[in-house]
Amino acid sequence: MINEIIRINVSEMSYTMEEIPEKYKYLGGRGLTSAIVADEVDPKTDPLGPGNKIVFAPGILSGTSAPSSGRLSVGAKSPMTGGIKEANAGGLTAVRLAKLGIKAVIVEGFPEHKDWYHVLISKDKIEFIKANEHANMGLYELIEKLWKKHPKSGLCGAGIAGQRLLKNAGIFGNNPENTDPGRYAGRGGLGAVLGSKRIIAIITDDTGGERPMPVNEELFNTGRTKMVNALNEHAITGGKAGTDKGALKNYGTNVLQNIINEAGALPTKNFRSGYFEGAKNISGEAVHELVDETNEKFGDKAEGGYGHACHPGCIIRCSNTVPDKNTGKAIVSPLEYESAWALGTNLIIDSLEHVAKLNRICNDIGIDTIDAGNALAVAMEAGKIPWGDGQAAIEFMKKGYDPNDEDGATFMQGANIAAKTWGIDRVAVVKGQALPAYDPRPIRGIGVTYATTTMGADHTAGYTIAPEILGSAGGADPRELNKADLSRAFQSTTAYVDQSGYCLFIAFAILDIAEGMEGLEETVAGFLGKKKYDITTVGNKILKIEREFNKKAGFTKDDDRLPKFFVDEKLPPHDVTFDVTNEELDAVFDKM
Amino acid sequence: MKINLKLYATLRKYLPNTEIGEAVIIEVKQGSTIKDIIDKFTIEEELAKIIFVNGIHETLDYILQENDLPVIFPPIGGG
Repeated sequence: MINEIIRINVSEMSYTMEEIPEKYKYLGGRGLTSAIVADEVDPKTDPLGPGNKIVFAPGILSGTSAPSSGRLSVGAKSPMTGGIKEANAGGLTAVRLAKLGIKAVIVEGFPEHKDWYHVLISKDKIEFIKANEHANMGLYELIEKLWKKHPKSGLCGAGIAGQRLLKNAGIFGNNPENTDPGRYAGRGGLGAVLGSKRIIAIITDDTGGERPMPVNEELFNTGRTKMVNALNEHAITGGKAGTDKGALKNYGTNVLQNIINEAGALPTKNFRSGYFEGAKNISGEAVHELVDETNEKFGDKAEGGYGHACHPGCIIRCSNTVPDKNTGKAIVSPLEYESAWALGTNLIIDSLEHVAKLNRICNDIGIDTIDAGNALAVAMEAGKIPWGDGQAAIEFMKKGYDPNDEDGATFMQGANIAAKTWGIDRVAVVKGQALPAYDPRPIRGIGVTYATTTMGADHTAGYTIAPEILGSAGGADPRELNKADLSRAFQSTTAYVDQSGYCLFIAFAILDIAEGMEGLEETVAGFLGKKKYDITTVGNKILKIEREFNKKAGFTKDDDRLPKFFVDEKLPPHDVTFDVTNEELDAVFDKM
Repeated sequence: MKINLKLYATLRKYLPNTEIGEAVIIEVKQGSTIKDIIDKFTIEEELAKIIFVNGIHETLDYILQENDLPVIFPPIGGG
């Protein structure tokens, strides 16, 4: 199999296929998207103009027999942050591209025409399909229509928000059953970049493709066995759905709702408190019990579930489907912790049904849930929606479907622009991107990550919650202020994982089980035919490329700071502020 | 003395007929530790992975005070 890079030129409506150049040979996922963006996109360019490019890259191991390795990275200059961006997701596209031998798809150029297109990628062939009839269509309807013509295909692309160039537009992806477009590379407005290229969907059909094979099969297999064992043995990633064992299979990521609340760190009412009385009603435990209840009541007709895989070959299986209490039919899949927090807790909405419906609208319209929830909080600050009113929030969000509705368009630009437009000062953003579901005042390490990551506020970029709250890797005190080393180590390892194609949740197992960590490096090195492929060295290299891009784009140390209210305003119930010094924040990259 | 206890996720089964997040008042002897509570409920030690008392991380040897709120989670993770 030849490893290829595909260039889709939307100025010419043409494409090329080239063998992957030597300098990119050992890259994949985030490592490859960030390298290509840094090499080919002027950091000062308009993110929605002709100079930007959007890159789709499966991880190094995607499509192989390595477990939970089918993640897709999407990269570009972000219209939301103005810096480099990589967002990754499960779904089908990464595995499909990998089986066709495609290491990256680069969409470049700028169309003069006003038509919409899909791009169909299949073995040795690329087609442009005119798709004007699919513009402004909800994504649930779109993916169903596309699978009728292209069954089993991987789908990803830009929804209504992206087609309208709104800055909170994510890149959607279909789930393996094609029942939901909810596998989002959501953050940073990448959907708007694809929309600026007049592309709606990238359809990948891997018929005739084959599984990518490792160069050093022995080393790869040794590592693979270690990784499988670590994931299966560990209490968080292992176990079995419906039994006492297995946190993620039973409760999904939303198992965090109650624990972060009990730690007094669950951002409530636009980060005014760390405790929300209603959190339990929208928690992972609540979803689990609703699924069991509706399964019993509706039998074969019930569509709720947990322990579901977000991509083929995932053995962690943290995804879920929230059912309607009265019919058993699916409302949305998945409901993640971050989404339940953003669309629930932070708006003091504690109806699981309302939260699930809000998430469904996000998925349908093509926006990231975290920034959408923060934007709704801003709308509540502005008095446009009453605090805690789930039904009113749903009606407000539906304004997004109307191209002539100003509030709808404003909220789909994300929290930062919504705040500026509506004259609200209190907005939780770093580098223009909204904060996720952990208040940085009681948990200092995650605040260091929010402030310093190249991505804008992003928990996944250096998930120090694992040691600070969940006891991983021996644990760390959440109140401790010297967190530069911890955050840097997590940011670096994460960059490596994001390049590998593995899901970030392997971290829970490999932090606690040494063989799992060996398995990570051995599978990657074995696949690439290298003796070693050091985690910290490679991770740091990716971060430096991204940091350099951001510097050239105009970012300074002043951009590596949290909003002032986190420093000034005490968070109840523990009455703590974010006391980490600026020197400590700067040490993350200064001491790399 | 009386304390308030919350158990979450798979540990919920040890407090049957309670709502999610409901604090149950239990009577313990002066000087009791968290370890004494999990023994009383026959919860395996490795399943009492994350312990908060009044919102602060504590360990199994923490000595309980009147009206304390211990909250116990099994190994969990997400994000």
